[in-house]
Amino acid sequence: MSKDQDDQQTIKLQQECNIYTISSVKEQILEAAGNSPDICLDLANVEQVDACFLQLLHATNNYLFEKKGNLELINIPEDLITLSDKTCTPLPSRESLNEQLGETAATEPASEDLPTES
Amino acid sequence: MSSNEDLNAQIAETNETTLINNQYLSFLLGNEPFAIPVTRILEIIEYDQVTIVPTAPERYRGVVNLRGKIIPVIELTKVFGLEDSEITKRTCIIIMEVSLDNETIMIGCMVDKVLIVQEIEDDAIEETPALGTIIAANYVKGLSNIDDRFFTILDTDTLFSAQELIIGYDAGLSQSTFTSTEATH
Amino acid sequence: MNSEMDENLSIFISEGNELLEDMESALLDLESNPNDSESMNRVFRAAHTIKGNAGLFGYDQIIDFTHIMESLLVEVRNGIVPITSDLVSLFMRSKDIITSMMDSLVGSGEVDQNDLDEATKLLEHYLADPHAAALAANPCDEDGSATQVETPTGIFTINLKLGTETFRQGFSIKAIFRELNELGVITSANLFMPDIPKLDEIDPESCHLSWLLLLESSCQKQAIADIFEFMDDCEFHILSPESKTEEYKKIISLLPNGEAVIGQILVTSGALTEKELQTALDRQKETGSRTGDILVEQGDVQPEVLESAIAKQQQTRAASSQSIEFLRVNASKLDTLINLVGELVINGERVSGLTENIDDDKLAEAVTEMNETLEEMRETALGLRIVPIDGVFKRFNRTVRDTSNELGKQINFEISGGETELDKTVAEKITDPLTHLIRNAIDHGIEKPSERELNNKPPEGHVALSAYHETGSIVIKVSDDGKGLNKEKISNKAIERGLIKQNDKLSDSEIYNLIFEPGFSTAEQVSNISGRGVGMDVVKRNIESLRGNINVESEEGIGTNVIIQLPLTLAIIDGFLICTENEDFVIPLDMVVECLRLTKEQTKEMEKHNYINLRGEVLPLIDLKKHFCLPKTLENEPETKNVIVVQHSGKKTGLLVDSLHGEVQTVIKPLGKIFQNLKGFSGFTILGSGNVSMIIDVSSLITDASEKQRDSFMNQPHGQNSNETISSESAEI
Repeated sequence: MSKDQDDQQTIKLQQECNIYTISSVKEQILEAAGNSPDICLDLANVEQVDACFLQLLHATNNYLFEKKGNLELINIPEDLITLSDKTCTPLPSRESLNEQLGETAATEPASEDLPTES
Repeated sequence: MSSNEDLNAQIAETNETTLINNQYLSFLLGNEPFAIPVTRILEIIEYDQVTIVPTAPERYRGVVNLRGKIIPVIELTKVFGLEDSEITKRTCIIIMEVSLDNETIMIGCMVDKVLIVQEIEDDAIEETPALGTIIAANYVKGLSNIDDRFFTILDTDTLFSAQELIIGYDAGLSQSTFTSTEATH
Repeated sequence: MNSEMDENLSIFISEGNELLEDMESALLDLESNPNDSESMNRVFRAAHTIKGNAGLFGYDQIIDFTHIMESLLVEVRNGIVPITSDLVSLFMRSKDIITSMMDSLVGSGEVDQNDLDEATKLLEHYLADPHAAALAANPCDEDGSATQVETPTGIFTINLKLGTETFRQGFSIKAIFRELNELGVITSANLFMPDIPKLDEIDPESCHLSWLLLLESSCQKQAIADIFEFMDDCEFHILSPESKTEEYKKIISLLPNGEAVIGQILVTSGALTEKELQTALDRQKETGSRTGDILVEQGDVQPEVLESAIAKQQQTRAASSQSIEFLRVNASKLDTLINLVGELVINGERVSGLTENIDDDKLAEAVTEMNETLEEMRETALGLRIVPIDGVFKRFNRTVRDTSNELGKQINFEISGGETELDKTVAEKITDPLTHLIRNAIDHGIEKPSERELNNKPPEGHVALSAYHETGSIVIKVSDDGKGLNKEKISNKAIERGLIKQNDKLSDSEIYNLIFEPGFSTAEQVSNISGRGVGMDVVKRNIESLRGNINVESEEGIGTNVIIQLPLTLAIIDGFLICTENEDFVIPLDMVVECLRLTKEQTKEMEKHNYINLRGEVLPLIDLKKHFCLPKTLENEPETKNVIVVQHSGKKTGLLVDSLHGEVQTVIKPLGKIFQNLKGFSGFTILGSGNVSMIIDVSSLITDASEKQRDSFMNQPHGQNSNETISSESAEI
């Protein structure tokens, strides 16, 4: 846990982020947020996500925003993008998302953008 | 000689109690004795107030009102070509139920006198002789010798067939019946 | 057992036929007004009821076919399949097929298997691919983009608030959205997390998500609600698209009166789901506001839909407060009852006669009272058979539609006086003659559109069918604004056919009425429509067998009216009792014009040539005793002769009789199987005395007498004015 780069901490999530693990994910984030409001979540090892994870991301975003911090997502797995698109639930910190994906999340009329069931 | 009431009771009883019976009602046309099975007979009424049905074939004496039902009355002497007889106190109408083209209707037969209801066994009925019947042979089922008198047993199937009864049953028939009626007057 | 079956079958058939008739008239309405949801629902209800009834009896063929039809009707009702005239024709054809299926049940006719297969295929085609079928029906939509345009979709507003337990219950949000996407297209989705706790407070296993979704879909509201069916603690409100508002309002207006609770009306209509209603009812308990207001506030229904539900509720309450119950009764039972009542009336009269001479005030009073009750009873009994003529009239919409299509004529068909009532038997028997007259009006009356325009008439021909009551009879009129009758043509044809003589002087009305003469309208009319071997003479005969009469008025270039006058009932007539040679006869009173007593000169005149001079006119006479060949009962001919003058087809004829006994009211008894072909009589009746009397059928009596007279002229030709005199010489030959 280095304190370089504007105190941003990178948390590399290891588990699947679903209803069974969500509480420990929350604890992990909350602990890190206690150190610095700038958090980067590295999702490289996350394959499967649930809607509860999306909700947690939003809660985290709100929390960090209040603390004048920022949430950044890197190595976003395909599953999360699909979930986000499918459920029309935008990922927090869209700017960073846009940079990475070059795509809009589905808060706008998204009839054409919604990928079909894969 | 029994009264109509007695006969009616007898007929009703036979028809109620037995399914197959050899009971026959005998009657006179003029002085000739005839018999018909009681199975088709409903009742016997006195001859009274027959309304003429103009233009109908002459075998139809007319119609009577039987408790609100209009019943055509056939004059059997005319059907058989026998001599007409006077209306007397003994003249009766035998009310029968016949089936025409799957429809059951009531008709009445005018006879000069009803005699009795009696049993005639099938083997007591002699076959119709080719010659010597008093009426057209197709109306005769057979003859039966009762007390030394030959009773003509009528064939009710031919006598009360649709062809025989319904006016203008087919066009040709209607034509001939109409002309014959007019010719007699 | 068997007869019970038969009775059930006949009830099924008679009810089925009524439903089919209604279906047909509704289809016709629908064709002219595709947005008429009332008609749509009538069609649907008819198909649905027939299917249900057929199900009771296990008539599989009818069940299967009506099922397909019903499925398609549901699609049509929901606006998925648009109503086109092709579709209406298909339904019309289906209706005919069901009719033939029902006919085949009673052994009258067969189902055309090819027709059935083809119709089934077409129905299924519409069902499987409504848009393609619609496109096929509307080839004017040029390119593929039309598919989109045709889709009758709307935008549902879905307010979805997931319950906190959603995650823990294992629901997949992803799956929910996938299902929504299957129903339509989510055009907009806004995520709300208004009450999401802070990260340090959040229970990450609880769900705090809400969406406001816009779903573009053509589905039913319930289909959306079904997705959330098992999510107990999730709250959702689905507001149907504006486009559905009309539909719900329609459905609500069509609901049978019976459900008086607004919420339930809305649920039945599809505007509200059970769950939404439940939520609202729960809230109502808390707040005490009206259910309707809560529903609108929650965004479950549009205010307009609510209003129509309220209107429906009021209507239901009004209807139930004066609910009329109907019983379906076997017509033959009804006839028996009417006959029995008739007998009772006669017996009553007889009792009155018998008690007349008994000096007992109390007896007299009792008898009078009894007779009054009997009279009332008879009127009520007769009223049982009375129906409005509307049922008959409506069938002709189809006749007009088919005939005008076949002939390429445009017809504006107008029906009036449908509420006019008449005896059901008369109503049934009038159908065929009317069909013929209406076809005739379109075929021969109405000109081709081009011809009409030349004559400054609107291209659309006008055919009107109307009915009204007139002094104890019903008048039915078939009018057209076509080319009218051509007097000259008719006269020439009548002369050619030997119906009249070259120099006969006939009034206009006499000329027009020649078209009803036998042998007039047979040969030349070979068109498919009105020349089916049935002439106007048959129409006339049918009408006359109902103791009615028919007349025609016409003006060349303006149009033609055919006027039919019929008795209100067949069971009872007012008659005039006459007697000759001690035999009583009844003549229908409406045929009687006047009674005469012959003067000595007239008697002489009569004896010479069978007619008398009545106030300067020739009155042909029929001597009833000679015509009927009655046996002589009187030793001396009565000194004075009586004549009863009857009018038939505008011509007067005198009937020579011994005595006149005045008016009687009589119950007609049919001639019966044996005498049914007898000419000159329409039935029997039982007089107050208990004696039977025959009812004279004036028109067939005169026809019969004319034939005899014609025959006699064949034998002894002498140059008399054969058209006017009727002799009874044949009887004397």
